[in-house]
Amino acid sequence: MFDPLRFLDLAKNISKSGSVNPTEEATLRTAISRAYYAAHLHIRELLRRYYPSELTNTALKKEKISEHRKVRILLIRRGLHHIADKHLALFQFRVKADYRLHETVNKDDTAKSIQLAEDIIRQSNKYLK
Amino acid sequence: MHEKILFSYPLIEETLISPYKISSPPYSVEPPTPSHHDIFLHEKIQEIEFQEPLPELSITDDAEKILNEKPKIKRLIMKIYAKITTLLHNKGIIFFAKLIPLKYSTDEETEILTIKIEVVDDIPYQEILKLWDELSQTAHENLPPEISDRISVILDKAKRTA
Repeated sequence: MFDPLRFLDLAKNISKSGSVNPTEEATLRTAISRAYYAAHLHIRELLRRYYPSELTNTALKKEKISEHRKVRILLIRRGLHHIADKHLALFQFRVKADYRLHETVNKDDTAKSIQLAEDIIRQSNKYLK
Repeated sequence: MHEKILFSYPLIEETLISPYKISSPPYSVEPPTPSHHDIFLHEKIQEIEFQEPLPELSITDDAEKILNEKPKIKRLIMKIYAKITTLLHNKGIIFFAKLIPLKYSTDEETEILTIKIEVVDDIPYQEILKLWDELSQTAHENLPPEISDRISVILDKAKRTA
């Protein structure tokens, strides 16, 4: 199975050096998007592994909610509000990177997104196992 | 986007926590409408002796609409904001604060009212992340999950202007 943490490696690599220009805005936007999915998918897989019944909760299935928010809800139910709030913040970075073409994405946004993703992954490893 | 300063202080009975002093007993009757509620808040200003002013919370139009439709959420947000600002004040941190609604998807109806704190002090982002943990846990303290899902706290470094 593919490990979503490889997305974080990619985000860090392309934001520093490699075959692409690390200061190019397309590169920065891609790094942010990959950083988000590294964190999001990592949490989702931890929840699937350790709390499978919560993910298949019928009440959550009935509601029209995205998988992203479902992860937030399950984090909150486990008392992990701080990770839930950081997940929402990183999602906002990703929306800006992927969709908001009139807003500029810079190196600072990318650096913060990567640090935020690392923090979310570290804390989810600590509290979700 | 237009923003308004809807309230500068946590001014209702539930938010009368340290460092404030109450100079009269709290009201026991909840005002029936948001407009009456605003009058209630205005009257309440006169009855509270502030030891120190709190930083203002700027509110987007979209957030204000939600607050006006849901007075209970408005009171809760003010209570949370009071707890957060007390914590930040005790740490000597200078900040800006804004209330914005966020969504995970445009298809979803649920908007998450988010208190965005922008720290002015030049502290490393790693320290911001640690502070964030503390603020989030404080904000969500004693809230049921279905309410916590609708509220969030986001921290960031304030953008520097030349």
